[in-house]
Amino acid sequence: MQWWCAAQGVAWTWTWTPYPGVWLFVGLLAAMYIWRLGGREATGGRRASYAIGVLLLWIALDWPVGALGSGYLASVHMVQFLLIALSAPPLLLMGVPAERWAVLEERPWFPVVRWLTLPLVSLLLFNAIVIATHWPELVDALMSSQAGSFALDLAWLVGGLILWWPVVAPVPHRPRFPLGIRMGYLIVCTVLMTLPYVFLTFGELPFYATYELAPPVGSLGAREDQRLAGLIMRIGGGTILWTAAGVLFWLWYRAENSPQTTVQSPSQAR
Amino acid sequence: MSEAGNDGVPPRVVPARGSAARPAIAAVLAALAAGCGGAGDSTETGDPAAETPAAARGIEPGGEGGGYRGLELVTPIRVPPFTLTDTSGEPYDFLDETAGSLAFLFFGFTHCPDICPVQLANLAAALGDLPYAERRQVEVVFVTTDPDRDTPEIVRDYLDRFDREFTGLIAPIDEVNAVLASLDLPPAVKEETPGTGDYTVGHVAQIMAVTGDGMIRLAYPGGIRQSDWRNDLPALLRLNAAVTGSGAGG
Repeated sequence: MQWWCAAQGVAWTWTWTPYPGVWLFVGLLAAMYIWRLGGREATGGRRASYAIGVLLLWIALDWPVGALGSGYLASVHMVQFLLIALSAPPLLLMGVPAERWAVLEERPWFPVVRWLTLPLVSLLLFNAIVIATHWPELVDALMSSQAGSFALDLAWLVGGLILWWPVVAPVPHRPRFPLGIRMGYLIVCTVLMTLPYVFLTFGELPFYATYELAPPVGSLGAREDQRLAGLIMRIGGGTILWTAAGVLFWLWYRAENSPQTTVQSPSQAR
Repeated sequence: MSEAGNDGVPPRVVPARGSAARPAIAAVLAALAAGCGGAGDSTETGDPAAETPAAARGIEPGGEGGGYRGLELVTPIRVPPFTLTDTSGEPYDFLDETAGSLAFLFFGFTHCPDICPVQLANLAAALGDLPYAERRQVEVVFVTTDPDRDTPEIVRDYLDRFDREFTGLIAPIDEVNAVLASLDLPPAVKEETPGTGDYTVGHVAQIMAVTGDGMIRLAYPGGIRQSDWRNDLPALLRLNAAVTGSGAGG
């Protein structure tokens, strides 16, 4: 039995396969929320946000999406990326009650988090992770083992949390990071993500041995699959980031035009 | 099933890039009985007849001079004459039909879930990148190792998914195995899949490059990528032009 999805080199089958490591991981995230991140005192909206975040992670990591993405189709691998790095992290962060952040800030490790989530650092770090985790040699090396595949998934999740932290996490320690700047931050991110998109969409040859040599699923060729992956990254990733930027713009516009111009993060807004 | 047999090892043994990968490739091909349908993998069954030929005939990676990513045979092998039936029901004399052309000979079956479709898809994609004049100098011949299921229509439909120019050959399995034996290759082996009532077919997985003089000069095992084909095809066309004296081959 496999505990985490990884490339197996065996023919794809639609027979359900259990991945206990994924269940354990998802269960740990849920338990952490309840006992460590203030889930019990959170509002319904925050609980729903966190639950949807965990659900998206579960979908991305478990069969069939996780299995297809780790060993058969680059396009599904990209769907995993969108779910793990761009969709789930803001929902997880927004699920944590604002007052819990104050508690977390007192932890000894929090200065590291604070540094990692400085906007410029987080932007560069996230994009470095994106580029590294789409580097063909690294992907091929990691995806062939469960530990490697787990490391890649974890890198995406951590990278996503770092990216979204300055945008959606309450930032009492960084009060001068206004909504307008956050908007720009996300837009710059869409620009930086153009690099892997171009690389995938316009590459003449398949870059990943994992997917090129995988037993075929359906009639999609390796080149078409890779181009589709690039388009998913561009359209899907762009949609997520631009939608978030749009929400920030709306919050910023509302704040600018309200009698009391108090600027709040989305997670502070109740 | 993987090229390495049904041991669950992913078929990523041949990222055939650069000289560093080549000893590994040679080792893989030396254990050449491997193929789709791992149950028939002769390396698993320990069939000495399956293991001897490749090692004996001395296959080594494309030499430093040739710069091939395929596996160059130290001593090219002459393809003995054989005639099978093509998908339109006509006799197909391999040596006659491919004389002067660069031919790729591949034994496989349409129900193969892993190696065969990947091998054919990658070759087809690389051939599709060639200029038309060069593409016309290449023949791809697929011989089914599963004639019980692979009717001419099924083989034709299957090959058309990759390239309509690919030739499919069908013959009773004894005739196909005789051709394999004449090439010092292990026979195709039908293996029942337990509990399913279905079966798979173990067979050699490499595509053999045959120049227009009827000599097998290189082999491309499972794991060969489109970038490898793109590297090798122009050189193979030049080699073909040189050995046939056609002066073509770009």
